[in-house]
Amino acid sequence: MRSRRWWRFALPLGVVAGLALTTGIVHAVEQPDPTDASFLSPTSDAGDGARLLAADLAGAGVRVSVRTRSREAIAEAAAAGPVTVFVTTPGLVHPSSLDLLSTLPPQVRVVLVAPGEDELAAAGFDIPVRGPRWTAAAPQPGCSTDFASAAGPAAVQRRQYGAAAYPAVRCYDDALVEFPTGRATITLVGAADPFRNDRADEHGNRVLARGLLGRDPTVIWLDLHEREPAPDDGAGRPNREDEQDPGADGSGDGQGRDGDRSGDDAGQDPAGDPQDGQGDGRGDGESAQGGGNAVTDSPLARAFPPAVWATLALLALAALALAAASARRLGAPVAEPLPVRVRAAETVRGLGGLYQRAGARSTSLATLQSAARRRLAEHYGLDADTPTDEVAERVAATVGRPVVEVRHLLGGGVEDSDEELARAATTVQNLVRFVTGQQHWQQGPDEGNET
Amino acid sequence: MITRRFALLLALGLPLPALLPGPWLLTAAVLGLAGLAATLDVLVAAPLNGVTLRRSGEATVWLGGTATVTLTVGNGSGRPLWLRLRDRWVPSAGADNTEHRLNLLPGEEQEIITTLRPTRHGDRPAVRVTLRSYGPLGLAYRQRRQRWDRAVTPEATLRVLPRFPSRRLLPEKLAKLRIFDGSVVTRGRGQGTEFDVLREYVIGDDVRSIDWRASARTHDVVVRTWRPERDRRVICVLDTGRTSAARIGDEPRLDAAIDAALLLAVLAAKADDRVDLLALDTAVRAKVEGGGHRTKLPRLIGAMAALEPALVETDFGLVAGELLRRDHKRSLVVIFTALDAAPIVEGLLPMLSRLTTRHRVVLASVRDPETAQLAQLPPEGATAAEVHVAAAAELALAERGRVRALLEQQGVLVVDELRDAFASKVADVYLMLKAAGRL
Repeated sequence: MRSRRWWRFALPLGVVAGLALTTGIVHAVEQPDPTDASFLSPTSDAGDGARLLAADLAGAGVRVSVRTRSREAIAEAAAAGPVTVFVTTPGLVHPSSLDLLSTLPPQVRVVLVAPGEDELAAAGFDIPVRGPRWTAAAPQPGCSTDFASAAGPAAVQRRQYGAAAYPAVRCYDDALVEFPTGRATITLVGAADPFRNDRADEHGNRVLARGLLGRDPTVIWLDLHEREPAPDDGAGRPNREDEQDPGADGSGDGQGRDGDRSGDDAGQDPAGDPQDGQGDGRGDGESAQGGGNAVTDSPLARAFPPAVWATLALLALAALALAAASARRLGAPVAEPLPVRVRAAETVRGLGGLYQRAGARSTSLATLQSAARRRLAEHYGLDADTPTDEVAERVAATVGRPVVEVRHLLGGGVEDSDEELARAATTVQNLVRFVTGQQHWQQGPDEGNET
Repeated sequence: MITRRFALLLALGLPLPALLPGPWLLTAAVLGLAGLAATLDVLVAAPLNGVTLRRSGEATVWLGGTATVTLTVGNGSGRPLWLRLRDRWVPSAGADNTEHRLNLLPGEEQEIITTLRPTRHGDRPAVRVTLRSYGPLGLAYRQRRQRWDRAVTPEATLRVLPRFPSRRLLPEKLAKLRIFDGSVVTRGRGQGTEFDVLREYVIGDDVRSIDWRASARTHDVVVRTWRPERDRRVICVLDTGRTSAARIGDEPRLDAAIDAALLLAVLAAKADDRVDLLALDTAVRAKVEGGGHRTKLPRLIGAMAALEPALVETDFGLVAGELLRRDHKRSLVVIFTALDAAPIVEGLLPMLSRLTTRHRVVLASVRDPETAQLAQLPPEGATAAEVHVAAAAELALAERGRVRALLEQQGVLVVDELRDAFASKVADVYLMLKAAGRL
């Protein structure tokens, strides 16, 4: 009763929880993954690719330059004239490169697709991010920029950027924000949907994407699909001078700029570190990279202040102490041999099972019939080895049935089905009970002889 | 060793590194202080060597009853003792509360009373008393190894006597015994009687019992009086082999046998016969013989208490070896075993003829009602599986019948009864034999 009530309570909740879980998993699986090679790739025809967009841009006379390393893209942008840098996966760009984006020259526009708060912080912007929403919404533009008004509603609202601190152009309920820094102009787009092949034809997505990226004669398309290593990797040593290397591939101008910036970086970070504390872990780590040991240098160690680690260590020790205190028993349990338990009719049941498995129907029936004959003979005061015919005659006389029928009952042949066997055996026993103990077994001869 | 309180102390120190500067230093400080306190605590705790343990209380109890055992704990050390102890008995001893906390001042003693409700008969030992002495702060304690605990544990064993439900039959059986005692007195000499004393003739005495020779020596007419034979020998042979492990109803066959043997022993002791016990499977498990009448019964009961069924085939050759020793007088041998074909036919039958020539043999077996029930099919709706099992049961019954016939052919009295009537029936056979003077 109690368990049924429990089920009545648990079952609906379980179903709902199961549905929610399934939905969550499916949604997570359905999300485009920035690490897929096809994600916003200008050459991909897949749903989350952006070949349509690249073709549109080419059709509009915009030169698309695809880069797979952020430093290369930055160097090229710094060297070129008016250019749009299209960063499809800001989350995968190395933080130090993100930082460089805002230092690009004023004629450069940088379009970031759905950056998170961490990426924005790494790029040096203090912009609170709301979202992400479950899916991208398509609000009215709500601003008068030409690309937005041309596009109308577009599916950009997954994340929203509170860029109140900047003199920003804010469209689509803060989902598309464009603001000038001292140098390059930064555009934050709240969702990847407008650029994707499969969403291009929804709302004004296609027009918006083309409008956003087609404002300059050149688009530098940063097509990045794995987390970038530190840009210094190639040189082996995390040295400030080496950081110029990627720039050296581009042009002399970029090289100089890079060098300047990295010099700033090195100067600022140690100062910025203490007051930032927990918030700016990356900057902290970068400065520590030169000195410190391997453990304290690991990104995980840098993610939290030492107070957290110390508290955790103490907590772990307390847990360990609790485990140790609980582990010592006040004497081990005492073992004792259990007495032997054997069911009385075990062999009988076992033998019955063997008969059944062997299909020994005739043997079983014959055993029961001979037992019945013995009992009947005993009842009539005959010898135990009286022939079946004689017993059958006596029984037939008592029961009032033909001798042949009774004789068949008491010495009948082989039965070939389980039902037949059960019926025959029951009939024999009923017959014996009827003959030997009528006063106890209130059964008519009809019941005893139903064959 | 530390306690949970130590862990709690560490947990209480958690906010310190979180809130104050210098987190690692504070962590070390918390740890160090707690460790120091625990060390001091364990040093101040009273040493376990000073604890004295004594035990007293009941040593025997009937199965189903309760026994109380007292453990006296004394503090022989010079310091106050915060003690936690666990008095472990074997599980079947049914100790109620095993864990105790005691605070003892130096020189103080305290008693711990444990109530035992044993669930099985036999010897139920106390295994070990585990001692744990806490420091005054309760942060740490002293506890020695198990071996040490076992060494300081005072020996105690509770002997649990087997269940004896047929005790209630005793008055009836004794009354029967007295009746034929009386009938022997009035009947005079005959089978199963022996000469008692000479006394004066009173009117009504059988004139045939007048002892003329004695009358000639005295001035009165003297008659001989007779009494039932005494000092006959009864030997209870308990088979503790595999067939005794089978459970008839709720208890093993051996328990039923012990019950019946106890009734028989008490009855025979009251009738001034000598009762011996032999329990065996592949080896002799218990043997009680000789000794005075008075101490015999307790010895028998004690020996039976320790019997347990073993999963081995009983060696009836041992029985013959014991019973055919030359000095053994003619006795009533009651073999408590099962009427199973294989062990009887292969084990007992070959030596039965030698046994029956020297002794009167009774074979007592508790009948298992389940086999008979399985042999009966329901009036309708039986399945093939039931039919096969019924056939197997019929075979077993027929086999039992054959074994019984074989035994009776050899002159063995067979008692094959259901559990309820078993002990009574065995006692009746004894009384019948005694009355007939065929012991």
